[in-house]
Amino acid sequence: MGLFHILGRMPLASSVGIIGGADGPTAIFVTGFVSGDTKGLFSALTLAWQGMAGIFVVMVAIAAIVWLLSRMTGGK
Amino acid sequence: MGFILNGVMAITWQMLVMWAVGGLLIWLAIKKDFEPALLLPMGFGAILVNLPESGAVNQVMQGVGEQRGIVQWLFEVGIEASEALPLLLFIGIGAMIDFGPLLSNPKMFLFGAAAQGGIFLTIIAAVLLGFPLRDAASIGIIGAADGPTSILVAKVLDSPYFGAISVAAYSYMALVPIIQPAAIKLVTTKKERAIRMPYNPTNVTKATRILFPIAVTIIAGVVAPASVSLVGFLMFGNLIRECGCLERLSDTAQNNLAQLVTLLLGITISFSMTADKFVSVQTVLIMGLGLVAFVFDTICGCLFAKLLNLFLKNKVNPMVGAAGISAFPMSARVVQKMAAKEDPQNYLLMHAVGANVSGQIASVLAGGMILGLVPGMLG
Repeated sequence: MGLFHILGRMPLASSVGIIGGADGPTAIFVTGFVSGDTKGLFSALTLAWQGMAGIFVVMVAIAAIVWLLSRMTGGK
Repeated sequence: MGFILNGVMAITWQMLVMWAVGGLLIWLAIKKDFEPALLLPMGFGAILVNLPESGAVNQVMQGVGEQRGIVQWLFEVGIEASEALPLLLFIGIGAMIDFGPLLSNPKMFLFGAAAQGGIFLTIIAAVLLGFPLRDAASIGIIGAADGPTSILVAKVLDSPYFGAISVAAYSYMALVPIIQPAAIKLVTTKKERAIRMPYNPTNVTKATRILFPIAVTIIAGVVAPASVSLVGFLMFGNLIRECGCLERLSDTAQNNLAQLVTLLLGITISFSMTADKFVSVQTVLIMGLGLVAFVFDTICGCLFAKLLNLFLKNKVNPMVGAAGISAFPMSARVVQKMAAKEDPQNYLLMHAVGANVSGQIASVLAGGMILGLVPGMLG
Protein backbone atom coordinates (compact mmCIF):
# COMPACT_ATOMS: atom_id res chain seq x y z
CA MET A 1 0.00 0.00 0.00
CA GLY A 2 2.79 2.40 0.98
CA LEU A 3 4.75 1.70 -2.17
CA PHE A 4 1.72 2.15 -4.38
CA HIS A 5 0.84 5.34 -2.51
CA ILE A 6 4.24 6.74 -3.44
CA LEU A 7 4.20 5.32 -6.96
CA GLY A 8 0.69 6.62 -7.45
CA ARG A 9 2.06 10.15 -7.14
CA MET A 10 4.09 9.56 -10.29
CA PRO A 11 1.69 8.67 -13.07
CA LEU A 12 4.24 6.95 -15.35
CA ALA A 13 5.88 4.95 -12.59
CA SER A 14 2.57 3.61 -11.34
CA SER A 15 1.64 2.56 -14.87
CA VAL A 16 4.82 0.46 -14.92
CA GLY A 17 3.86 -0.93 -11.55
CA ILE A 18 0.50 -2.08 -12.87
CA ILE A 19 2.09 -3.73 -15.89
CA GLY A 20 4.41 -5.50 -13.45
CA GLY A 21 1.54 -7.69 -12.39
CA ALA A 22 -0.48 -6.20 -9.56
CA ASP A 23 -3.50 -8.28 -8.64
CA GLY A 24 -6.98 -7.19 -9.73
CA PRO A 25 -8.20 -5.15 -6.74
CA THR A 26 -4.82 -3.48 -6.27
CA ALA A 27 -4.63 -2.66 -9.96
CA ILE A 28 -8.09 -1.07 -9.83
CA PHE A 29 -7.08 0.96 -6.76
CA VAL A 30 -3.85 2.14 -8.37
CA THR A 31 -5.44 3.00 -11.71
CA GLY A 32 -8.01 5.07 -9.81
CA PHE A 33 -5.22 6.93 -8.06
CA VAL A 34 -3.32 7.34 -11.30
CA SER A 35 -6.41 8.68 -13.06
CA GLY A 36 -6.80 11.31 -10.35
CA ASP A 37 -3.21 12.50 -10.71
CA THR A 38 -3.32 12.28 -14.49
CA LYS A 39 -6.45 14.39 -14.51
CA GLY A 40 -4.69 17.00 -12.37
CA LEU A 41 -1.67 16.93 -14.67
CA PHE A 42 -3.89 17.26 -17.73
CA SER A 43 -5.66 20.21 -16.12
CA ALA A 44 -2.31 21.81 -15.32
CA LEU A 45 -1.12 21.36 -18.89
CA THR A 46 -4.38 22.80 -20.22
CA LEU A 47 -4.07 25.72 -17.80
CA ALA A 48 -0.49 26.32 -18.96
CA TRP A 49 -1.41 26.33 -22.62
CA GLN A 50 -4.52 28.46 -22.21
CA GLY A 51 -2.91 30.79 -19.71
CA MET A 52 0.19 31.52 -21.79
CA ALA A 53 -1.85 31.84 -24.95
CA GLY A 54 -4.18 34.29 -23.23
CA ILE A 55 -1.30 36.36 -21.89
CA PHE A 56 0.38 36.52 -25.28
CA VAL A 57 -2.86 37.44 -27.06
CA VAL A 58 -3.56 40.28 -24.66
CA MET A 59 0.02 41.58 -24.67
CA VAL A 60 0.20 41.52 -28.48
CA ALA A 61 -3.16 43.30 -28.63
CA ILE A 62 -1.93 45.95 -26.20
CA ALA A 63 1.33 46.35 -28.13
CA ALA A 64 -0.63 46.81 -31.34
CA ILE A 65 -2.86 49.42 -29.74
CA VAL A 66 0.13 51.25 -28.32
CA TRP A 67 1.70 51.33 -31.77
CA LEU A 68 -1.59 52.61 -33.24
CA LEU A 69 -1.95 55.22 -30.50
CA SER A 70 1.58 56.42 -31.18
CA ARG A 71 0.76 56.81 -34.85
CA MET A 72 -2.57 58.52 -34.24
CA THR A 73 -1.30 60.94 -31.59
CA GLY A 74 1.71 61.97 -33.61
CA GLY A 75 4.54 60.12 -31.89
CA LYS A 76 7.60 59.34 -34.10
CA MET B 1 0.98 31.81 40.53
CA GLY B 2 -0.02 28.91 38.32
CA PHE B 3 -1.45 31.25 35.72
CA ILE B 4 2.05 32.59 34.99
CA LEU B 5 3.23 29.13 34.07
CA ASN B 6 0.14 28.43 31.95
CA GLY B 7 1.51 30.48 29.08
CA VAL B 8 4.96 28.89 29.31
CA MET B 9 3.47 25.39 29.45
CA ALA B 10 1.35 26.14 26.38
CA ILE B 11 4.41 26.82 24.19
CA THR B 12 4.84 24.11 21.57
CA TRP B 13 7.89 23.29 19.48
CA GLN B 14 5.99 24.49 16.41
CA MET B 15 5.62 27.93 18.02
CA LEU B 16 9.35 27.99 18.69
CA VAL B 17 9.97 27.21 15.03
CA MET B 18 7.73 30.12 14.04
CA TRP B 19 9.56 32.46 16.44
CA ALA B 20 12.75 31.42 14.69
CA VAL B 21 11.13 31.99 11.28
CA GLY B 22 9.96 35.42 12.44
CA GLY B 23 13.41 36.22 13.71
CA LEU B 24 14.95 35.09 10.45
CA LEU B 25 12.63 37.35 8.43
CA ILE B 26 13.47 40.29 10.68
CA TRP B 27 17.19 39.55 10.34
CA LEU B 28 16.90 39.30 6.55
CA ALA B 29 15.05 42.61 6.49
CA ILE B 30 17.48 44.52 8.70
CA LYS B 31 20.83 42.92 8.04
CA LYS B 32 20.46 41.92 4.40
CA ASP B 33 17.98 44.61 3.35
CA PHE B 34 15.65 41.97 1.81
CA GLU B 35 12.34 43.73 1.16
CA PRO B 36 12.42 45.20 4.67
CA ALA B 37 9.07 46.99 4.28
CA LEU B 38 7.34 43.64 4.15
CA LEU B 39 9.60 41.03 5.68
CA LEU B 40 10.04 42.93 8.94
CA PRO B 41 6.30 43.30 9.66
CA MET B 42 5.73 39.71 8.55
CA GLY B 43 8.50 38.50 10.81
CA PHE B 44 7.26 40.43 13.82
CA GLY B 45 3.69 39.41 13.09
CA ALA B 46 4.76 35.76 12.92
CA ILE B 47 5.98 36.07 16.49
CA LEU B 48 2.83 37.93 17.58
CA VAL B 49 0.38 35.31 16.31
CA ASN B 50 2.43 32.38 17.58
CA LEU B 51 2.44 33.34 21.23
CA PRO B 52 0.25 31.05 23.36
CA GLU B 53 -3.39 32.25 23.38
CA SER B 54 -2.21 35.37 21.61
CA GLY B 55 -4.56 38.32 21.89
CA ALA B 56 -3.59 39.29 18.35
CA VAL B 57 -5.93 36.57 17.03
CA ASN B 58 -9.47 35.72 18.11
CA GLN B 59 -9.60 33.94 21.45
CA VAL B 60 -12.40 32.52 23.55
CA MET B 61 -11.87 33.83 27.06
CA GLN B 62 -13.50 31.95 29.90
CA GLY B 63 -16.35 33.93 31.39
CA VAL B 64 -16.03 36.65 28.76
CA GLY B 65 -16.63 34.99 25.43
CA GLU B 66 -14.92 35.51 22.10
CA GLN B 67 -12.48 38.38 21.88
CA ARG B 68 -11.48 39.64 18.45
CA GLY B 69 -7.77 39.89 17.75
CA ILE B 70 -6.51 42.87 15.74
CA VAL B 71 -4.31 40.87 13.35
CA GLN B 72 -7.14 38.46 12.59
CA TRP B 73 -9.56 41.36 12.17
CA LEU B 74 -7.19 43.09 9.74
CA PHE B 75 -6.89 39.84 7.81
CA GLU B 76 -10.63 39.22 7.65
CA VAL B 77 -11.42 42.78 6.61
CA GLY B 78 -8.36 43.69 4.57
CA ILE B 79 -7.72 40.46 2.71
CA GLU B 80 -10.39 37.82 3.20
CA ALA B 81 -13.43 40.04 2.60
CA SER B 82 -12.33 41.71 -0.62
CA GLU B 83 -8.54 41.50 -1.00
CA ALA B 84 -8.61 45.25 -0.32
CA LEU B 85 -5.07 45.70 0.95
CA PRO B 86 -3.18 44.23 -2.04
CA LEU B 87 -5.52 46.00 -4.45
CA LEU B 88 -5.05 49.37 -2.76
CA LEU B 89 -1.31 48.80 -2.87
CA PHE B 90 -1.64 48.32 -6.60
CA ILE B 91 -2.89 51.89 -6.95
CA GLY B 92 0.35 53.06 -5.42
CA ILE B 93 2.43 50.75 -7.59
CA GLY B 94 0.65 51.93 -10.73
CA ALA B 95 1.33 55.52 -9.77
CA MET B 96 5.03 54.73 -9.35
CA ILE B 97 5.56 53.09 -12.71
CA ASP B 98 6.72 55.03 -15.76
CA PHE B 99 5.62 53.00 -18.78
CA GLY B 100 7.52 55.32 -21.13
CA PRO B 101 10.39 52.91 -21.97
CA LEU B 102 7.79 50.27 -22.81
CA LEU B 103 5.51 52.54 -24.81
CA SER B 104 8.45 53.77 -26.88
CA ASN B 105 9.51 50.20 -27.64
CA PRO B 106 6.33 48.09 -27.88
CA LYS B 107 8.05 44.82 -28.81
CA MET B 108 9.13 44.59 -25.17
CA PHE B 109 5.55 43.57 -24.38
CA LEU B 110 6.43 40.12 -25.73
CA PHE B 111 9.22 39.59 -23.20
CA GLY B 112 6.92 40.40 -20.32
CA ALA B 113 4.56 37.73 -21.60
CA ALA B 114 7.26 35.11 -22.13
CA ALA B 115 8.73 35.52 -18.67
CA GLN B 116 5.48 34.34 -17.07
CA GLY B 117 6.15 30.82 -18.35
CA GLY B 118 7.73 29.89 -15.05
CA ILE B 119 4.36 30.31 -13.33
CA PHE B 120 2.73 27.57 -15.34
CA LEU B 121 5.75 25.26 -15.31
CA THR B 122 5.71 25.52 -11.54
CA ILE B 123 2.00 24.70 -11.48
CA ILE B 124 2.79 21.52 -13.41
CA ALA B 125 5.65 20.71 -11.03
CA ALA B 126 3.40 21.27 -8.02
CA VAL B 127 0.74 18.96 -9.44
CA LEU B 128 3.41 16.29 -10.02
CA LEU B 129 4.42 16.67 -6.38
CA GLY B 130 0.88 15.90 -5.33
CA PHE B 131 -0.65 19.32 -4.74
CA PRO B 132 -4.25 19.62 -5.97
CA LEU B 133 -4.71 22.06 -8.85
CA ARG B 134 -6.16 24.82 -6.64
CA ASP B 135 -3.07 24.82 -4.42
CA ALA B 136 -0.67 24.26 -7.33
CA ALA B 137 -2.06 27.37 -9.05
CA SER B 138 -1.67 29.39 -5.84
CA ILE B 139 1.93 28.19 -5.55
CA GLY B 140 2.72 28.77 -9.22
CA ILE B 141 1.67 32.42 -8.99
CA ILE B 142 4.73 33.02 -6.81
CA GLY B 143 6.44 33.18 -10.21
CA ALA B 144 4.52 36.36 -10.94
CA ALA B 145 7.21 38.00 -8.76
CA ASP B 146 4.50 40.30 -7.55
CA GLY B 147 3.38 40.29 -3.93
CA PRO B 148 -0.15 41.68 -4.31
CA THR B 149 -0.93 39.36 -7.22
CA SER B 150 0.33 36.32 -5.31
CA ILE B 151 -1.66 37.31 -2.24
CA LEU B 152 -4.83 37.96 -4.16
CA VAL B 153 -4.73 34.74 -6.20
CA ALA B 154 -3.91 32.58 -3.18
CA LYS B 155 -6.73 34.18 -1.22
CA VAL B 156 -9.37 33.97 -3.94
CA LEU B 157 -8.48 30.30 -4.55
CA ASP B 158 -8.67 29.86 -0.77
CA SER B 159 -5.33 28.12 -0.55
CA PRO B 160 -4.43 26.84 2.93
CA TYR B 161 -0.78 27.68 2.13
CA PHE B 162 -1.39 31.41 1.93
CA GLY B 163 1.25 32.24 4.53
CA ALA B 164 4.01 30.20 2.93
CA ILE B 165 3.13 31.57 -0.50
CA SER B 166 3.31 35.17 0.74
CA VAL B 167 6.66 34.61 2.46
CA ALA B 168 8.05 32.86 -0.61
CA ALA B 169 6.83 35.57 -2.98
CA TYR B 170 8.43 38.43 -1.07
CA SER B 171 11.58 36.56 -0.10
CA TYR B 172 12.42 35.49 -3.62
CA MET B 173 11.68 38.95 -4.99
CA ALA B 174 14.46 40.17 -2.76
CA LEU B 175 16.73 37.36 -3.98
CA VAL B 176 16.40 38.27 -7.67
CA PRO B 177 20.00 39.64 -7.80
CA ILE B 178 21.19 36.19 -6.73
CA ILE B 179 18.75 33.93 -8.57
CA GLN B 180 18.68 35.60 -11.97
CA PRO B 181 22.38 35.78 -12.83
CA ALA B 182 22.77 32.06 -12.20
CA ALA B 183 19.70 31.18 -14.25
CA ILE B 184 20.74 33.49 -17.10
CA LYS B 185 24.22 31.98 -17.31
CA LEU B 186 22.63 28.54 -17.48
CA VAL B 187 20.92 29.24 -20.81
CA THR B 188 23.07 31.88 -22.51
CA THR B 189 26.59 32.02 -23.85
CA LYS B 190 29.13 34.76 -23.22
CA LYS B 191 28.72 35.87 -26.83
CA GLU B 192 24.94 36.14 -26.46
CA ARG B 193 25.24 38.14 -23.27
CA ALA B 194 27.51 40.59 -25.08
CA ILE B 195 24.98 41.36 -27.85
CA ARG B 196 24.55 45.09 -28.15
CA MET B 197 21.13 46.65 -28.65
CA PRO B 198 21.00 50.27 -29.80
CA TYR B 199 18.25 52.27 -28.12
CA ASN B 200 16.16 54.32 -30.55
CA PRO B 201 12.92 55.04 -28.75
CA THR B 202 9.92 56.52 -30.51
CA ASN B 203 8.45 59.61 -28.97
CA VAL B 204 5.61 58.92 -26.55
CA THR B 205 2.95 61.61 -26.51
CA LYS B 206 0.98 62.56 -23.46
CA ALA B 207 -2.19 61.35 -25.17
CA THR B 208 -0.66 57.89 -25.54
CA ARG B 209 0.36 57.86 -21.89
CA ILE B 210 -3.19 58.75 -20.86
CA LEU B 211 -4.99 56.39 -23.22
CA PHE B 212 -2.67 53.47 -22.44
CA PRO B 213 -4.00 52.59 -18.95
CA ILE B 214 -7.59 52.89 -20.17
CA ALA B 215 -6.94 50.65 -23.18
CA VAL B 216 -5.10 48.04 -21.10
CA THR B 217 -7.93 47.88 -18.58
CA ILE B 218 -10.56 47.38 -21.26
CA ILE B 219 -8.61 44.76 -23.22
CA ALA B 220 -7.50 42.79 -20.18
CA GLY B 221 -10.96 43.05 -18.65
CA VAL B 222 -12.71 41.72 -21.74
CA VAL B 223 -10.30 38.79 -22.21
CA ALA B 224 -9.81 37.94 -18.53
CA PRO B 225 -12.66 39.41 -16.45
CA ALA B 226 -11.19 37.99 -13.26
CA SER B 227 -8.20 40.31 -13.74
CA VAL B 228 -10.26 43.52 -13.76
CA SER B 229 -9.63 44.39 -10.12
CA LEU B 230 -5.89 43.70 -10.42
CA VAL B 231 -5.28 45.35 -13.77
CA GLY B 232 -7.85 48.06 -13.12
CA PHE B 233 -6.32 49.30 -9.89
CA LEU B 234 -2.81 49.16 -11.35
CA MET B 235 -3.89 51.18 -14.35
CA PHE B 236 -5.96 53.54 -12.21
CA GLY B 237 -2.82 54.42 -10.29
CA ASN B 238 -0.95 54.92 -13.53
CA LEU B 239 -3.72 57.13 -14.93
CA ILE B 240 -3.56 59.34 -11.85
CA ARG B 241 0.15 59.71 -12.52
CA GLU B 242 -0.07 60.41 -16.22
CA CYS B 243 -3.15 62.64 -16.41
CA GLY B 244 -1.11 65.64 -15.26
CA CYS B 245 -3.93 67.24 -13.26
CA LEU B 246 -3.76 65.13 -10.09
CA GLU B 247 -0.21 65.62 -8.92
CA ARG B 248 -1.13 65.65 -5.25
CA LEU B 249 -3.18 62.47 -5.58
CA SER B 250 -0.37 60.84 -7.54
CA ASP B 251 2.11 61.86 -4.86
CA THR B 252 -0.20 60.54 -2.15
CA ALA B 253 -0.68 57.25 -3.97
CA GLN B 254 3.04 56.75 -4.55
CA ASN B 255 4.09 57.63 -1.04
CA ASN B 256 1.54 57.80 1.75
CA LEU B 257 -0.94 55.25 0.41
CA ALA B 258 1.70 52.77 -0.68
CA GLN B 259 3.59 53.02 2.59
CA LEU B 260 0.49 52.87 4.79
CA VAL B 261 -0.87 49.81 3.02
CA THR B 262 2.55 48.15 3.01
CA LEU B 263 2.78 48.75 6.75
CA LEU B 264 -0.55 47.03 7.35
CA LEU B 265 -0.17 44.33 4.71
CA GLY B 266 2.93 42.76 6.19
CA ILE B 267 1.54 42.37 9.68
CA THR B 268 -1.83 41.29 8.32
CA ILE B 269 -0.33 38.47 6.25
CA SER B 270 1.28 37.13 9.41
CA PHE B 271 -2.15 35.88 10.51
CA SER B 272 -1.67 33.05 8.02
CA MET B 273 1.69 32.19 9.59
CA THR B 274 0.31 30.41 12.63
CA ALA B 275 2.30 27.33 13.51
CA ASP B 276 -0.47 24.89 12.66
CA LYS B 277 -0.64 26.21 9.10
CA PHE B 278 3.02 27.03 8.49
CA VAL B 279 5.10 24.30 10.08
CA SER B 280 4.71 21.48 7.60
CA VAL B 281 6.49 19.61 4.84
CA GLN B 282 4.31 21.46 2.34
CA THR B 283 5.86 24.79 3.41
CA VAL B 284 9.31 23.49 2.57
CA LEU B 285 8.04 22.21 -0.79
CA ILE B 286 6.44 25.58 -1.49
CA MET B 287 9.70 27.38 -0.75
CA GLY B 288 11.43 25.07 -3.20
CA LEU B 289 8.73 25.52 -5.82
CA GLY B 290 8.92 29.30 -5.41
CA LEU B 291 12.59 29.16 -6.31
CA VAL B 292 11.73 26.93 -9.28
CA ALA B 293 9.19 29.52 -10.42
CA PHE B 294 11.69 32.36 -10.43
CA VAL B 295 14.34 30.29 -12.17
CA PHE B 296 11.96 29.12 -14.87
CA ASP B 297 10.61 32.64 -15.36
CA THR B 298 14.14 33.79 -16.12
CA ILE B 299 14.88 30.83 -18.35
CA CYS B 300 11.61 31.22 -20.30
CA GLY B 301 12.33 34.89 -20.93
CA CYS B 302 15.87 34.18 -22.16
CA LEU B 303 14.80 31.27 -24.34
CA PHE B 304 12.03 33.35 -25.91
CA ALA B 305 14.57 36.00 -26.84
CA LYS B 306 16.80 33.33 -28.33
CA LEU B 307 13.83 31.99 -30.31
CA LEU B 308 13.11 35.47 -31.67
CA ASN B 309 16.75 35.83 -32.67
CA LEU B 310 16.28 32.98 -35.15
CA PHE B 311 14.06 35.32 -37.13
CA LEU B 312 15.49 38.75 -36.39
CA LYS B 313 18.19 40.53 -38.27
CA ASN B 314 18.99 42.85 -35.34
CA LYS B 315 19.54 40.38 -32.54
CA VAL B 316 18.06 40.77 -29.10
CA ASN B 317 20.27 40.25 -26.09
CA PRO B 318 18.63 37.22 -24.37
CA MET B 319 19.17 38.79 -20.96
CA VAL B 320 16.51 41.35 -21.83
CA GLY B 321 14.06 38.45 -21.86
CA ALA B 322 15.01 37.68 -18.28
CA ALA B 323 14.05 41.22 -17.33
CA GLY B 324 10.47 40.37 -18.26
CA ILE B 325 9.69 39.21 -14.73
CA SER B 326 7.79 41.59 -12.58
CA ALA B 327 10.53 42.30 -10.02
CA PHE B 328 10.81 45.98 -10.88
CA PRO B 329 13.34 47.61 -10.99
CA MET B 330 15.72 45.00 -9.61
CA SER B 331 15.60 42.70 -12.60
CA ALA B 332 16.42 45.50 -15.05
CA ARG B 333 19.39 46.51 -12.90
CA VAL B 334 20.61 42.92 -12.73
CA VAL B 335 20.51 42.63 -16.52
CA GLN B 336 22.36 45.93 -17.01
CA LYS B 337 25.00 44.89 -14.50
CA MET B 338 25.56 41.56 -16.26
CA ALA B 339 25.69 43.27 -19.64
CA ALA B 340 28.28 45.77 -18.41
CA LYS B 341 30.33 42.90 -17.05
CA GLU B 342 30.52 41.27 -20.47
CA ASP B 343 30.96 44.58 -22.32
CA PRO B 344 31.35 47.86 -20.41
CA GLN B 345 30.02 49.77 -23.43
CA ASN B 346 26.78 47.79 -23.62
CA TYR B 347 23.80 49.74 -22.33
CA LEU B 348 20.76 47.54 -22.02
CA LEU B 349 19.07 49.33 -19.16
CA MET B 350 16.26 51.03 -21.07
CA HIS B 351 15.43 47.84 -22.99
CA ALA B 352 15.48 45.92 -19.73
CA VAL B 353 13.28 48.51 -18.02
CA GLY B 354 10.80 48.25 -20.88
CA ALA B 355 10.68 44.46 -20.49
CA ASN B 356 10.51 44.81 -16.71
CA VAL B 357 7.43 47.06 -16.68
CA SER B 358 5.88 44.87 -19.33
CA GLY B 359 6.34 42.02 -16.89
CA GLN B 360 4.34 43.98 -14.33
CA ILE B 361 1.34 43.99 -16.66
CA ALA B 362 1.87 40.40 -17.78
CA SER B 363 2.14 39.11 -14.21
CA VAL B 364 -1.15 40.72 -13.30
CA LEU B 365 -2.68 39.21 -16.43
CA ALA B 366 -1.29 35.82 -15.42
CA GLY B 367 -3.05 36.18 -12.08
CA GLY B 368 -6.25 37.06 -13.88
CA MET B 369 -5.91 34.11 -16.25
CA ILE B 370 -5.43 31.72 -13.36
CA LEU B 371 -8.43 33.14 -11.52
CA GLY B 372 -10.49 32.90 -14.68
CA LEU B 373 -9.45 29.37 -15.69
CA VAL B 374 -8.84 27.40 -12.49
CA PRO B 375 -12.33 27.59 -10.91
CA GLY B 376 -13.80 26.07 -14.06
CA MET B 377 -11.31 23.20 -13.86
CA LEU B 378 -12.08 22.44 -10.25
CA GLY B 379 -15.69 21.49 -10.92
